[in-house]
Amino acid sequence: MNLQFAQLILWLPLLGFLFCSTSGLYIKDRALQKRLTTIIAPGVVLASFVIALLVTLQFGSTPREIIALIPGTSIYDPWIRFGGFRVNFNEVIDPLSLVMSLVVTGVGGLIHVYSVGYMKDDRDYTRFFTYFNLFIFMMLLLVLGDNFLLMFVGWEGVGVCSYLLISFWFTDEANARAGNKAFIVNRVGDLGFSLGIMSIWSYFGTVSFYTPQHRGVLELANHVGRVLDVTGGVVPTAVITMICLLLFVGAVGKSAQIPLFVWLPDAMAGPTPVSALIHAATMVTAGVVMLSRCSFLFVHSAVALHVVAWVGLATAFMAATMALVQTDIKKVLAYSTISQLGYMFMACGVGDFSDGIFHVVTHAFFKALLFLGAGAVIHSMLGEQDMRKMGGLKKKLPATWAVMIIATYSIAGFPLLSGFWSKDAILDSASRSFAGDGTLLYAGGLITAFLTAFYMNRLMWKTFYTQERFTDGQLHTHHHGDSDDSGHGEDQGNGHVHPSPGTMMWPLYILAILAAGFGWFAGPYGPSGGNLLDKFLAPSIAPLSLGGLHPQADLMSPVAGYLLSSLIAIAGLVLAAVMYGRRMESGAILEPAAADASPLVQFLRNNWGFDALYNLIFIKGGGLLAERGLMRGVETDTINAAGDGIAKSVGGISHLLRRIQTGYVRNYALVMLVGAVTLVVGMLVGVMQH
Amino acid sequence: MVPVSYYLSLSAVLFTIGVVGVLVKRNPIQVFMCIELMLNAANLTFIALGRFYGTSVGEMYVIFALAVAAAEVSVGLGIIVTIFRTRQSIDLDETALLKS
Repeated sequence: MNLQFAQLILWLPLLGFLFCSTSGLYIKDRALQKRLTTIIAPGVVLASFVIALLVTLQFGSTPREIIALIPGTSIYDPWIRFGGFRVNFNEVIDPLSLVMSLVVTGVGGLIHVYSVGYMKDDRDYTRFFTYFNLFIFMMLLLVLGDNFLLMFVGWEGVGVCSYLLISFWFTDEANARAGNKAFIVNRVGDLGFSLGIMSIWSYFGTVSFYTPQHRGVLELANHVGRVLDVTGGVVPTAVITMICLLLFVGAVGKSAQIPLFVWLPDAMAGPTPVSALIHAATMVTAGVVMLSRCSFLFVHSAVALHVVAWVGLATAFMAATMALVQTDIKKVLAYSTISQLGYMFMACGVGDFSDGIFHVVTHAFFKALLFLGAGAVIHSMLGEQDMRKMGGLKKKLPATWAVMIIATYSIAGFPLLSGFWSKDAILDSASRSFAGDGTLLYAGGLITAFLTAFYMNRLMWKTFYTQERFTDGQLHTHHHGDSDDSGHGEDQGNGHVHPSPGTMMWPLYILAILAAGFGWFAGPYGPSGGNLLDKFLAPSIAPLSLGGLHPQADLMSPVAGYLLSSLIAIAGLVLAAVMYGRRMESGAILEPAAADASPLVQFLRNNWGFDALYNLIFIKGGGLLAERGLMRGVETDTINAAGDGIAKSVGGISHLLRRIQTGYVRNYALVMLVGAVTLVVGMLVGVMQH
Repeated sequence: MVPVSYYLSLSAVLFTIGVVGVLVKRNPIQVFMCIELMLNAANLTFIALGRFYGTSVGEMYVIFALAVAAAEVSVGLGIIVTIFRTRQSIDLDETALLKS
């Protein structure tokens, strides 16, 4: 089957990026440039999506060639070569990369379309789409690259783009700082990732995933109970564990797990579509994609899997508790993203990589929806993000409310919505964890699910229900009737009428349909016998048995599991509704000051002290180390002292030697004479001796 | 015929006088003259030995040496004149400008 045209999936967004970044040079008419950007930037991404869809359909019909390699371009073959090190610019087209391409271009494309409306009054409209297209390209490179180096390029690329986008409104220093924080924290993870790649090169002798000769890393690891290197030797399990843990450090940074999650809440500084793009379709899912891609390695190391599972669970729980006390609507969503990513990691950690990807996909739908909806809310509130000052918005923004409620119930795991199926699949796998700690993982997952339902409905209640807590005229829609398109650029609501509210609303509707129905489609009761996604992904994902690990028996029957998680989700939703409904009825509109001051709330609100800890260790400690230790100890007392010492001794010696230079010609002449005489006498002596 | 050793002795004496003059004189003109004296002592040696061995190579070298000496004198005197113009003095000990 000819998959050459699948290359376009990758290259089209790059073309869009090239157009957007250079159009200012040859298109002097700004209005024309903006119009072209509006067509081209979302257009290339959606075109990519269409191609990815076509390839996927073609792929599904020919299951034999399930993993295909596409040489990027023959010019770059090999892409890198020095010494024995050789890397090709190949793309891998397999179920995993196709699913991720669909998510990235599909959800990414919808966010592009939404941004057309959202950013239309922004000064730097074209710059925004330049970054957006580059982001999509880098993310596609990450998922489509056939070797760790290409993946790393994409990995760093999304890092750069996230920096650029988070600090998009860079004139505000807080935004620039948030961008820096994201970039620097990611750097810690990237160090682990690059060390992992180097280890893979030195132990395996290749960094490709698949090669035409079947000598790629994943193919070499595809043996029951052992991993071979390129020459046929066996790679020890301890080495596999080390490599997996190093790769995991990279995933922890990119996917915001403990302890490197601190950048994600701050990443809210960017425009809201950026948050949606970073949180839903791209960037943070990169870690899960990488773990799934390396599943063939991970199943060989029970230790590494164990670490992944528990870090995932700890992150899921901790971030959920933090989300309980946030007052900023976007911050709630940020912590919920971290929490959901924890679920995905837990899925990977119990060897159920395909359900991790399942949750990535459903999460992409409902989280994009939540962010875009929150963007609509924020901008109809003229930039107000504090939920304490919202309330009663259901009447004003009925359409936004409708899509938000679907997304909320989906993420909360309300029965039969997407989030329910993917979360339940993860909980089910966790309960059967190969290490026998299934009960603990399952319980932790359930508690987190309860917290999730609670904080999400808390957000809905504070935002959409009860009475209004803002002054009239603050709400944007007052100025132009009941139009519910809301959130657009930085328009200050001066009665401006929006020409195309549709471009911002129909992406939400599409996402709402997916957030509601995709889980059923791909889940166990879906069409064609169910578990479509699992079956489709199977060739890209290693089974646990490859590493000699076996899941334990079920804790309970599937139906009992469904019932239990439904009950938990509904309980969380109801509790939030009762608590916030009553509190607001009783006039305690704002959270009582007493609750704010309680140590537990403070503790949660301060990220469990992580930010303070990092501030103490890295910022203050680093500052002290730099000032006291390195500057005084090393720089001043050692390096400078050594330098000065050399200079001084040279100076001293030359001070002595300088005395020779008297400046009197006859002194020099005398020295010459003495020299000449010595020479002549020496020659004469020599002549006489012979 | 005068033995060659006489010439060489004379040459040695002239050379020594020249060396001593260079070392002790403070007037650059005198130093210059002493240098010329050394040069001519060497020339004398060349000619004497050339005659002694019956070749004209010695004379050839002397002609070269005279030509070079003429050029050198003109440059040297030029320098001295310049020094005098700038410093109103040509005392060698006073022109020890490169002294540390």
